[in-house]
Amino acid sequence: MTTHTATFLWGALTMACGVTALLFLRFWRLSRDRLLIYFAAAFAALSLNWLLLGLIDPGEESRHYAYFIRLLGFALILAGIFDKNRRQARVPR
Amino acid sequence: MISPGIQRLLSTSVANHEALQTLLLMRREPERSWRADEVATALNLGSDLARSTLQALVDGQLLRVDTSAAATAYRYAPGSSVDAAVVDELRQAWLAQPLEIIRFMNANAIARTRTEAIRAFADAFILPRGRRDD
Amino acid sequence: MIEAIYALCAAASALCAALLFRGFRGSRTSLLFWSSLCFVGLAINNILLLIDLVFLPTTVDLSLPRTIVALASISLLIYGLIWEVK
Repeated sequence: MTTHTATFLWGALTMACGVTALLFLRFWRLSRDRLLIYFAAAFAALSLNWLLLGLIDPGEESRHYAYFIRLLGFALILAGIFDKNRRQARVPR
Repeated sequence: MISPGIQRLLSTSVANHEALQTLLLMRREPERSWRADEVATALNLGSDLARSTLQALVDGQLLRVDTSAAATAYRYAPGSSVDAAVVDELRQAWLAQPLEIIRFMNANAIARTRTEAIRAFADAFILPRGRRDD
Repeated sequence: MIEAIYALCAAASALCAALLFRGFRGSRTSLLFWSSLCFVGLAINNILLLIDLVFLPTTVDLSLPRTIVALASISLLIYGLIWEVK
């Protein structure tokens, strides 16, 4: 895709993930479930991933570093699921 | 002002008005075993509602299923001495300041419906019988 | 190394999608439906990323469909989080 379209879409994704992170933060305040903090952080990381892709000039090598942020995002989700299940096991309800 | 112990109890195991009345009823005669239909008659509840309320209180470790009776019966059996003390406190509080308790429970109920969808989202990630992901 | 990262991201997305869809079938909460769709899309995005950067020649560029899928997915999630939660 053209640089124009790419930058536009990455900008849109940066904003979309940022909004999602804020929404998860709000719902964490309402429900107090720690899993939602993990999701908020994960989407903040994904937002950062798209931000870096949008700002860093297309040099294939440096692009890959943004993907470590993406990995961090998904790792946070997995960590949140792990944490949730560990908490659940301790409280038999 | 409701004590923190009562607040905790009302937010977890005694979440609705039927549960509160059932618990207070069973506490009044702790030696007696009640069947679901007896509770339903005493409190003027539907028998299904009485049964599910009793089961919820069993899950919350405030009642025990009495296996000695022929039909399923329930008996007041707080899980710990702390719980027993809080229930007694609740009894006093219900006599002294019932409106406070009702107000607190209503606020809880409203908060609970507001977070229903989010709790469903979070609870979806509870793995079936496993404790770890991957 | 990079392939492993993309594969792990795809697997994590797929896991979330599966858990959320299972939750939706149990509780019928609309939010779970939209969020499971979102994670299906993110899984597809990661799989396309893997295929595009690892397996396909540089003449074929999947970046447009990849990015559109990602944007559509997150949009579905935002829709669910705003409309399906009181």
